[in-house]
Amino acid sequence: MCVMEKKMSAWFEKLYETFIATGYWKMLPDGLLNTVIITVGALLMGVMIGTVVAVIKYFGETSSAMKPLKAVCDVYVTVIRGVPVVVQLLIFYFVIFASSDNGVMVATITFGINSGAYMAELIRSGINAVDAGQMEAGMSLGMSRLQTMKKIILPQAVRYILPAIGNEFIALLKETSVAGYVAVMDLTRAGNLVRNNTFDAVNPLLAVALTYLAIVVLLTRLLKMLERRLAKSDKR
Amino acid sequence: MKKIISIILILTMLAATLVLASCGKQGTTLDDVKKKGEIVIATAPDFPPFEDLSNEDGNVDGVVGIDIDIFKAIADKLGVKLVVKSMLFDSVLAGVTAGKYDIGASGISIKPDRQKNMLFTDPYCTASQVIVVKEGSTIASKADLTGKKVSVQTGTTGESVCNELGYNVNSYASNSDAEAALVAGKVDAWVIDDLTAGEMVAIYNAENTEKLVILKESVSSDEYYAFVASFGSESLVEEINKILAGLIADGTIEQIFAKYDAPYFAPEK
Repeated sequence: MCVMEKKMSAWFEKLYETFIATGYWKMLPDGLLNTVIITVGALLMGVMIGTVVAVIKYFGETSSAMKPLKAVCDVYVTVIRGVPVVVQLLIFYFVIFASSDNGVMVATITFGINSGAYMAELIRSGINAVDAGQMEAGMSLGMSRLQTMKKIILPQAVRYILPAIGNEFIALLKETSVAGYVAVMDLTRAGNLVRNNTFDAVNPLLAVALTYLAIVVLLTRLLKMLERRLAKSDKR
Repeated sequence: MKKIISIILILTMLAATLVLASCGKQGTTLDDVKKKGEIVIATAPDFPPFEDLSNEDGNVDGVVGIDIDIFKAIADKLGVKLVVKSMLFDSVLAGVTAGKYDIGASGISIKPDRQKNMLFTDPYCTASQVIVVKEGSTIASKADLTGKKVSVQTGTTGESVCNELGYNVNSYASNSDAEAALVAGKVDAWVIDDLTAGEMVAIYNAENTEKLVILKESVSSDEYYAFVASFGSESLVEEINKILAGLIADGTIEQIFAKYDAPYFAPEK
């Protein structure tokens, strides 16, 4: 038992030394803020891009006027899903936005475009899950296909899409941990900075891992509550 | 309730395992190296003339440079084979302190907070941190850097010096990325060691019309390069120091620097 106590007190000392004595603990909340900004920004961008692409793909299947647009969307989804997100980030940072010095903005745009491709598929399957009769009903009332989509189908599709988007949110949060490659001070990078400057590998990594874990656990619980609330309409 | 308890239990076990695992065997003794018949050095080959990726003659595991040549001589004197592992610079220091590699040889400067966590051999060279800007930049001296954006490599003395001086710092894991950031205009200046600045700027200027310029005033000086090892490797470090002193005395080190057209600044004892 003596060995455990010695190890524990040695660990607490090292913890204090690494984070508090040096003042490095402040880097973690700063990093967390950037991570959250990038994640939320990318999520919103992804939802907007995903919805547009999904609707285009849905209409493009039947309407011949939309076929060229649908082809563009197919290429977008294939390319984005086929290239690792780190490579996309490096391309955006060093090639496309080469002269920009705002890493957070470049990262948000990259992750937004990346997420949009995955969300497009999610949203498209959500739209397909809505009963085909809804579209027919809307059109029989004299609404155009686009109007029906906006006012009748999408609101109903939300029920199926929201849980999947919640999952994508959680995945996005962890994906953003590579933003450090392009000099963005996100949570993981902050942890690495502390680790490099204090030569303490355990504590910063543990702190960063636990922070991600805590946020994901929180999001998962919120997601469960949301799903239960949405499912209420089924139990009439 | 049960779920929360089980989650807390798992987390505590995880934390405990990590804490206990961090106290592993560290340090390579001279006998370990002789028994293995090889000495493993960690290096970040984005730092010419000290280490660079190349497949030309004289390369060890795809790396050439001053550090490699010095260590080839040391390995010969020890009678063992030299093995070179390449990685990013911050992984070199982290790996050596964790005891994964016998020696770190990567243009590493002696610094007090590094000395607290690893062993340094005697120094073999002096260095300073210089400023590189694009031709025509308004920055002409160290004072002009305040409030400007600067790119550095993660884990280097350049990074800590710039952070201490309060500049707006962008850290990149590799030196070439830090140079690319300057070229692309993402930062106003790039801070890096003097000999490497000389090499990399010369290579860049030879292939591009827009030139890079190294300012005369340095950000900091009085740095000494040495090799590093983890605690517990005292016997190995002692032997390396003896061999190093011999190589300095008989002019081998000067010859190695001359081979790479690099000025040799001997560390005054």
